[in-house]
Amino acid sequence: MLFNSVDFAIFLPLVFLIYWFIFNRNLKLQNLFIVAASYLFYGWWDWRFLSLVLISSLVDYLVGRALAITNHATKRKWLLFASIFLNLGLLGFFKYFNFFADSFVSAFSLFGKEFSATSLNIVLPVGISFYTFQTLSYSIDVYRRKLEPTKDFIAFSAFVTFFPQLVAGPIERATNLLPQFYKKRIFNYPMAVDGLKQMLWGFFKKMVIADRCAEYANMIFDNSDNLPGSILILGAFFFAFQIYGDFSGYSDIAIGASKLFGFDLMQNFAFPYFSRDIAEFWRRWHISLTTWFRDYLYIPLGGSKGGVWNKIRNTFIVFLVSGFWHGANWTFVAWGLINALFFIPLLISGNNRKHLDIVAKERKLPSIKELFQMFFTFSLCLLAWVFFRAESIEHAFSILSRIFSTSVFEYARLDNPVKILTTVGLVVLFIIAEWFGRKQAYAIETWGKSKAKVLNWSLYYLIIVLIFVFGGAQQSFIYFQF
Amino acid sequence: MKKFLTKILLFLLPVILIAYPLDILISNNLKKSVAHVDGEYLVWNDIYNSQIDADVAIYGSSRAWIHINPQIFLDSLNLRAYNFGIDGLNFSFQYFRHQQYLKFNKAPKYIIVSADMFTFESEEGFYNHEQALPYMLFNSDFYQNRKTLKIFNTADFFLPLKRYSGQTWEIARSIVVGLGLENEPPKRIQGFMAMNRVWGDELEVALKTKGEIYVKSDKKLITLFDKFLVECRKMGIKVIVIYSPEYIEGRKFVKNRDEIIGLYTDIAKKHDITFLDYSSDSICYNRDYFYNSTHLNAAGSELFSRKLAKDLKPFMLPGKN
Repeated sequence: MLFNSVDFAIFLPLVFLIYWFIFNRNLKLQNLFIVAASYLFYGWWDWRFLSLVLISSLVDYLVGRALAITNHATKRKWLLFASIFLNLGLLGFFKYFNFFADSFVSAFSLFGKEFSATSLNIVLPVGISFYTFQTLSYSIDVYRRKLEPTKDFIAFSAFVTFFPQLVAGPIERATNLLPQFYKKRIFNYPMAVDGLKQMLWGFFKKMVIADRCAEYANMIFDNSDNLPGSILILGAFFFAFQIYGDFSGYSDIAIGASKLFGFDLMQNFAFPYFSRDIAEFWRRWHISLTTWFRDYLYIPLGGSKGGVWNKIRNTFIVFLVSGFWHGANWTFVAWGLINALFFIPLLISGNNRKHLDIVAKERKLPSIKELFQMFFTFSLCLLAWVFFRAESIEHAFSILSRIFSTSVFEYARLDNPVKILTTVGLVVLFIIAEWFGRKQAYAIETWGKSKAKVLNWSLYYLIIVLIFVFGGAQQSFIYFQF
Repeated sequence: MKKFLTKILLFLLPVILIAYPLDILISNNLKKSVAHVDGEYLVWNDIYNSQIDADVAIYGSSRAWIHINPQIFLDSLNLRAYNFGIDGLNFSFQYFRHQQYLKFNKAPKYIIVSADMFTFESEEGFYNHEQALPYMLFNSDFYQNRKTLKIFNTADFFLPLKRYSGQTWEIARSIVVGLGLENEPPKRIQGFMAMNRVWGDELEVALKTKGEIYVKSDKKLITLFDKFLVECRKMGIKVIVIYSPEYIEGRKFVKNRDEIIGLYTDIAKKHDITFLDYSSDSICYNRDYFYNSTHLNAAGSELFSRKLAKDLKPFMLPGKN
């Protein structure tokens, strides 16, 4: 069920009312209802996928229980291995089988050996990368004794399947979300209002910014062979805002919807395009995944200990795995690699933690230097996004070769200049709103706190009107495929 | 909780209250547009306002719309004609428009179907879907044909304003029309529009980007066409199928051209109707009459309409030479 669908517009209020009015007195029933609603939400795509969520929940729950009753180090390792094997096995099979089969065939054909590819027609279950990582974090935390294993299977299932964040995150840690299922939720008016507001902003990001930009990004990337560098840069710009609006919009809707049910999810995006270097960008982009890799891959690999070369090696591994996590295509691996290459100089020079606070924290406007830094970082992101969006590595290089050619100065006639300029105008408005809201969890967090109710409501109506008038053609969320 | 729900309802109340009136306002203004969506609203208005009193109805895609001038039929044959050609859509939607036409207007004596390579090809989307917007709310005919109107879902037919969501240019056009600022001439007269354009590079671009294409005719659409012909016969409407001129160099674009022309010949034989094939007419060899390989310009359509009227005279006005 897509957030931006009529189905969800019916589903959410119904679940909300039943949750607070029928099951509010019994925590177990309330959790059970969340599980049922989440299964319905997920099964709306394809009921067959439900078995995978159930298997993943069951295995990690049992692993957790088994870890609780043994102190034997080897047994504990085997139990953890079982969880990792199963979760990554499911992920590997459903997401990467065809990729590996095809790559294997291609690799051998280079040496003159011809194999026939045994590609299976595997449907990728929506959001599999998200919930497998979420359940894995539970098993790892229990193994590390950072978390008490739960006895409550319903609460655990609710943690794994919680519908707002099931298919595209934020990838929650059991340490944050699971305990919230143990406590009785009491309806919190300010929290619910805040949730609705965040959802509204998320819908704006998705429907106005992402879906509008998608139209032109798709048009430009799909016809890149016939377009000059100047237009291809515009295509990369549109894609940068498409993916940001799409994914951070989803996160806002997920976090906002969770607040309606009394849950507090982690922030997933913190105005990444205002970053002054690529390290800061990665602290602000897809925070739940970046911190997941930091805690469960980078640190176990040795982290920053053991000298410069170890740091470089570990950074490369994390970025490559992160790229691969996004999809079974070499383009994603290349995207990870490029980001690693951008990151390494900062790491070597010890500047990777230079910008921890939001830019111009005490000021309204950035300095010229900050402006230049943000522009430069954004340009690096654009370059990397070309790989992320391209159909293949060759396609990405063909686009970049045009961008870095004289055709970048070519004036190109656009088919619908008014429409394109309208979209650019909307993006500019969005950047302004984000800039002035950059010190908050989401741009319009403090909107509506004025004493004049008319003004508050007018602002909300304005966003609704903007969504109504400028919302692009309904598109699926990009990150569902990951 | 009570406060929360009350506020939500209060917040939504104005939205609910203005949704339907606003929908009507947008739709009514949009219907008045004479130029938006290739002037399709003019045709739909004529249909729904029962304004069509034609002896000859012309069906087809853009090749009907801009190739056959009804005024020439009136001048040459003294028959009132109306052009229902719809840009970019196959017979499925043409048939829907035919049904709506007959429902609200007097049936014609003749229907000229301008067939082309894509008449029976399945379509993925719904080109110029904006033409349906002002008419489809609570319209059971449109709803029953929702499979044809692929991009709409059930809520679009019953929830006011829902279908206008994201239709920036239709909302903008509605405002422009409402303020009396639409400053464009009508795009259709009796459904027809002459294209004052000269030859462009569309053929070269199409051949370069798409190469030769194979057009697969959908059996369901062929069956629908059979059904249409049977219905017309029962109603006493005489159907004539034509294939209007296309520029000779553009023929190589569709690989299975002969197969499709053969299909029309077979259908004509099966139903004992006339099929006039102009795909090798002398017009086809003169690029000055075209603005791209499949579309005649104003000069071309003028010439072709006269030729067609002359050729149809024996069928439509037997005994008058």
